[in-house]
Amino acid sequence: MRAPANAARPVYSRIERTATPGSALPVAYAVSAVVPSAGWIAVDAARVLEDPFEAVKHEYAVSNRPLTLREEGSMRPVVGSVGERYNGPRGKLLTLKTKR
Amino acid sequence: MQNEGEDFYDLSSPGFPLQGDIFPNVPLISPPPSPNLIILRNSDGTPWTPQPGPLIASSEKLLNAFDEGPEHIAASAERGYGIVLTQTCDLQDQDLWLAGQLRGLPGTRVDRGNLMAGKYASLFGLPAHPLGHFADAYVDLIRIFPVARECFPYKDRIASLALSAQMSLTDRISQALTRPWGHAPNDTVLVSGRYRCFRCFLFDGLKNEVLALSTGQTFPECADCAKIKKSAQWRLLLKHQKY
Repeated sequence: MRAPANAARPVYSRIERTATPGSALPVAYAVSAVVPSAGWIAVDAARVLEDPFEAVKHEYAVSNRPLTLREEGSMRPVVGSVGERYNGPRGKLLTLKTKR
Repeated sequence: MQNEGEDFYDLSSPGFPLQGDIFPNVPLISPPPSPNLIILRNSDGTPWTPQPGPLIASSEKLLNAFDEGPEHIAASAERGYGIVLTQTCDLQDQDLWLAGQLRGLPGTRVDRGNLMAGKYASLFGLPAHPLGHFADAYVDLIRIFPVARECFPYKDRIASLALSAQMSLTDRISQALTRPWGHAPNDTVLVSGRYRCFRCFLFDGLKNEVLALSTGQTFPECADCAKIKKSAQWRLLLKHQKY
């Protein structure tokens, strides 16, 4: 039996009926990037691996190593709305741009 | 305008330590990236006895170290803001707590919006503390330091997370450290067998095909995941048995 619609249970089906397939969500994607910090010095592997006095320098401390950014479903591509595609008593559903 | 940190932090200062508590001056020790360590010795060459005074630092390559037991070594250390990552229920029993380091956003390419929205797999975002203890920060959850619990004096605690933020932290730790993995499209198949994309296997109405792939082939895109612009994660299927 279908659950009654009330304020605590939005009627998504009303939105789904009028939605354009594939246009509702911002583009979701996964990106990995390695970002060095400001004071980071690239590890000279041969020198660092051989010379423990070089390896123990603060430049190679954990907090100074490059940061790996593994990003998924970024919010950044969404740059604004190109207009409404649903406007009902429970609100508006916008179509979102993904490029400037 | 309401400061978002007011909802994020528990300003009532709970009367016991919690996962997510933030302390200043936490000692964070980095392991050297070289397999050869710096060994500390007394001036007569014997293993260093912790005491004030001069000592000799030698490369591990030049002496017989660890033959008689543990040695003292040199390492890089710093003090900074640390967040407790050990589970709350373990804090009373553990001598060593796991800590993450708070890092500021300036000078990084961390996008604040994505950070606070939880879009980075291994970063946990901390909005500026409403009482000004620290500015916007992040914690890299794959860089975890074991720290003696005595280094977190309760009287020095400067922030605790609200319950909802504690839940976000546990989710983020779980995602950072235990998320399942699979082979990406274009990876080379190293083991012949039957594979399934597990990124989409929980969802209804999808084919979620099982592919027989041989060593040397490359993993394809998953047709179902490609429709939502996600990358496939191919996983080798094993015999169903007790594990």
